[in-house]
Amino acid sequence: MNLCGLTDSLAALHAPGECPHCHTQSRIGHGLCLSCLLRGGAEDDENLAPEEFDAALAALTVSDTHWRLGNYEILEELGRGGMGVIYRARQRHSRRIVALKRVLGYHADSRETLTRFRREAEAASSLDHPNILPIYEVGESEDGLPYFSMKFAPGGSLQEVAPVLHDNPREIVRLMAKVARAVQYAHREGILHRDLKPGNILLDGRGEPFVSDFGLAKWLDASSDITRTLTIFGTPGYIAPEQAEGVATSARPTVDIYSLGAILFGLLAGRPPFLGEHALAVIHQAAQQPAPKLRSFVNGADRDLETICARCLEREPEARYRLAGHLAEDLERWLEDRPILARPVSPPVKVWRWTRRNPAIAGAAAASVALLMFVAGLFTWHRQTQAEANAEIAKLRQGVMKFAHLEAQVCQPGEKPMQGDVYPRLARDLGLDVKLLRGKLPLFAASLRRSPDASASERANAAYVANDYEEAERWAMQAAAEARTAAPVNPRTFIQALELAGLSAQAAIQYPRAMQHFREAEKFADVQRDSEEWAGLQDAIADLLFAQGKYGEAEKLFRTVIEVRSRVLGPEHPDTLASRHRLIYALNEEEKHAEAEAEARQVVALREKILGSEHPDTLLSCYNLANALYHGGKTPEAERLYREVLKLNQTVIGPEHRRTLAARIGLANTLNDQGKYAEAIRFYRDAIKLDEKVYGREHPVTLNDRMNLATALQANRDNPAAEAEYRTVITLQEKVIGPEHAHTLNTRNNLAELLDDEGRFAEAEAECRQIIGLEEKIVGPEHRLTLNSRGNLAVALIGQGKIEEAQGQIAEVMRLMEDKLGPGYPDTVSFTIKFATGLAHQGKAQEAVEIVGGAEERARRTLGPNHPVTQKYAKLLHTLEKPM
Amino acid sequence: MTPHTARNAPESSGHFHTTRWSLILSSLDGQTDEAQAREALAQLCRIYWRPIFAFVCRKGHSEQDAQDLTQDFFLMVLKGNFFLRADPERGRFRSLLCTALQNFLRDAHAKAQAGKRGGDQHFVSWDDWMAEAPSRLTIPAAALESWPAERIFDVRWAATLAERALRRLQEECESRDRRRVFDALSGSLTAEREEVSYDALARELGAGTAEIKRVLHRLRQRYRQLLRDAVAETVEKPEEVEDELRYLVAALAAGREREQ
Repeated sequence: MNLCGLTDSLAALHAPGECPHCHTQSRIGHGLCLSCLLRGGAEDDENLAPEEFDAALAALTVSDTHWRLGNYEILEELGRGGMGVIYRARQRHSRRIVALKRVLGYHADSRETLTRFRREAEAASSLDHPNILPIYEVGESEDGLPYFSMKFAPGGSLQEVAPVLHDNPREIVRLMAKVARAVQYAHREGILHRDLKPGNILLDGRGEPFVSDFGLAKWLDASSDITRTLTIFGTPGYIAPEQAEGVATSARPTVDIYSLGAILFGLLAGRPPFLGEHALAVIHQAAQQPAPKLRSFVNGADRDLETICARCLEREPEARYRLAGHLAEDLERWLEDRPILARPVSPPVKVWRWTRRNPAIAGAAAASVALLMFVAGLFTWHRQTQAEANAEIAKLRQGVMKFAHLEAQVCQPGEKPMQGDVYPRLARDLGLDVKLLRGKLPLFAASLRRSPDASASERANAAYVANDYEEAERWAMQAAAEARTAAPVNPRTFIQALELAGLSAQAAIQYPRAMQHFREAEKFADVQRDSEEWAGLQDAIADLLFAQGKYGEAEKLFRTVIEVRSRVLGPEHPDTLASRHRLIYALNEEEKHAEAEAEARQVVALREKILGSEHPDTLLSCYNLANALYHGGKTPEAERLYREVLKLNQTVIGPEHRRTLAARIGLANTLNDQGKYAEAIRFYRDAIKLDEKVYGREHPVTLNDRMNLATALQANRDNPAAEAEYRTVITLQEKVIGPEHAHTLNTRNNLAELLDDEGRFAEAEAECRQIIGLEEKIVGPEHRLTLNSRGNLAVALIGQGKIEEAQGQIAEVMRLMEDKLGPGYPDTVSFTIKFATGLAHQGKAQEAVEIVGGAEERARRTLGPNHPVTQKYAKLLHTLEKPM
Repeated sequence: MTPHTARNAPESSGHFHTTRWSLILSSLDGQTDEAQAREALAQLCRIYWRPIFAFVCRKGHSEQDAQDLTQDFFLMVLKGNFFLRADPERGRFRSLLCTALQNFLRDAHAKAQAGKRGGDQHFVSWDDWMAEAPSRLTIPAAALESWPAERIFDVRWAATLAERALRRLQEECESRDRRRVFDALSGSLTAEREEVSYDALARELGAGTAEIKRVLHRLRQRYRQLLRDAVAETVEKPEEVEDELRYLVAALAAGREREQ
């Protein structure tokens, strides 16, 4: 039954068992009594320390991995029903992936029933038809519980793909004709299904239908003890009324025909013929009312299909198709545009309209990717020759395998994942059309992930393409383990697998784990130092260091990589240039702006020469140059360049592209710095909206941009909004990138400054004291960030009248700032002024004059008497010296 | 397999001094800032939408209308001054929300009479809600028609708490590579000792009976803790957790005699 709306909200039972302990009847999943659960919570229980819980779980030697059953290694649980569990498993010797059903039910207590189950399962396994899911083996595990293995159908079931099929009656009829033929075959062999439903019709990778669980339904879904299972009839919408009511002691083939009709109806109408609050309501309706007409749900549905459905759904078994083969024939006739044999038998009935919304449609989330794959296949690949198709598949496979590695080359540091940008490069490498690649690669990856023939490494890469980084990492580690134990050991495969594990972990923002993988790989790569591969691995490590905020280490490593790549690949190779790009980022973060600018100018020149001035990669380099200019304080020049890049990016790569977003943020930053706050805030807000869409709400990039927005809000004197924004960002940054990341510390420093501005000096002092130690450790004692925090601390101290302590700080901060950042640097100037005004407010005019006087003198000497900074100081000095 | 948890990652577990409800209450006298309190309220609403929806349905609204009304109610709560008007003396989040809902439905009714209802602004997408926390609550068929809406609300509330804790427990087992253990044992969380077939469970998991007993005991303890954590988010003081649970147990049992 579909779980939506009220049917989900309050699935009701006709006669649920009363709880023997408390006599209430409300239950949640696993048959648990709600009242008993709550009572347990209210009982005074001593707290269980998490470690004890861990220890208890760990003591049980039943991990989810390495679990075997008979000849099978269990890979994962696919589902669990009233009577059994189904797993994806691997046959040990053949390595074949199978679906494995294990019967756990209560029947297992009796030897006789076990034998009967075995007999029926073996009978079912004798069915040999191209559209019946083959049963490979019926067995019994050491513990005496029976299981059987069968073909693993990676395409999901009709239930999952129904939403995509909905608009394609021909495809529905084609599938159902095959299913009906298969059912006819089984009937001839004397085996009824008795529980045909969309969930029992599986699809393989090519979209061919397979009927599963023939003759076994009663073992798997029903239970003799109906009070034990909460849903008495798994799928009441598809069961024949006489079967549900238990009228027929010996069921007849017509029960399966009813179910086939209900499935057909359900696929065409988007909902089964009968729906209700609960299972029994559905069954009662099916027994008492004629089935609704197809066209009462689907305007313009085909009249013949309506007749075929109605014929299957007759309440009287005798009025239905007598044989499944007859149904198949009518469906085939319809496909061939020949007249069908069934005639409308019932006089027009009063159509009973449902006013409820259609849960099947409302509940239909995304379509099964596997089906999309096969639909896409139907429309395009049929026109190819087999050879062409094979060649394409080979290229797609190659694309999947290269994807993660290429992404690492293409993306900017800290920006992973950014899959969109990989495609042009990948298309070029594979010699395929970009559009085709964008359309087909994800579908291909989705099917490769589920393909029983795929290797661990293929699965890992495919999962990466599908953005499922956790699974990618798991499979990559599996691949690494396989490579390591293979004889002979293949270090290259091993390194690649670990590199992929690292990239996956990094994409999932699990930095420490990513580093572990890379370091592990490095141990093996060391022997092949200086190779292209080694450079690739080092590049990945440097990128990760960058993401972790360790810019100095990253810079050093990038330089090594650039050196190796220039030598091995050549100075103009895209990978070499990519590393140079990253170096620029690192230099910017380290405040080495002049070096960054020089590096950026060189790269821009190279790219313009090689690619032309409007190529996306050239634009990216221009963007990097703008960044370097911006960070170097050349704000107007940076603004001009950002605007230019933004304009070109919008036309060349599109307005929602990540790089366009980045240029927008860059522009907003320059506007912010030039005091054009309102415009900056607008640009930030636009960009953040897109960030959340493109990167996700908690991505470091999004958080960074929100931090920038907060500074603009603060500058625009909207302190409450700025503070709220800072605090949210800090919480998220601590969670996502960690409390010791330079960006987190930077946000906290900004918050401290805001607190100073607000006169909340004690709070500011506490904040600063917490972060300064961390900053000295992470970015060094002389970094701008650390100096800023110390400046903010000094302001907080002055504000609280702790003048003596403040003066010590001030002297050193000013010395270091003038030394490291320069006497004209905006931070240096603004802190000097803050210190002086703060002291003046505390009545320490003399101390204020000394500070400004000293700064003025040094500025006059180094910047000259006419420099605006010198003049600014002079003016301030004048005001301070005026008697108050 | 874990479907897509990144966006709905479990929030940090509820230590008492930061329970969401106490956070909201403390914002009243300016102890915490309003933005934080609003965020906390939004999170609570996201968790406890089902009781609201079930209540509205029970009041006779169609499913579609009930969806819209639930959304409107949350928007009202979040945009308006719901928590500013919350009076710590007036009770817990649950009862306050229920009262507010009743008032809201009265107003909504008046507006509908005047033909002014509508607006397609949504608090969160309905599909997200459904996907985030599917519920498997089942109650007796007769209850659907016979129980008053307030009781449906309370039962739904209780189920939301219980299922939330169960999901957490599952996540914890999964993260420790013991999903199988959870799958096999969770059905016995409330069973009495003599009702559990330890042998059968031991057979399924291929472990010793004594081990199974021990781990089931720990699972129960952990579940209770998680349940209390979930309740703690909706009350102001730790002492109230037990009362709240007892209230809900009573609500589940209420009127049982009448039905029989």
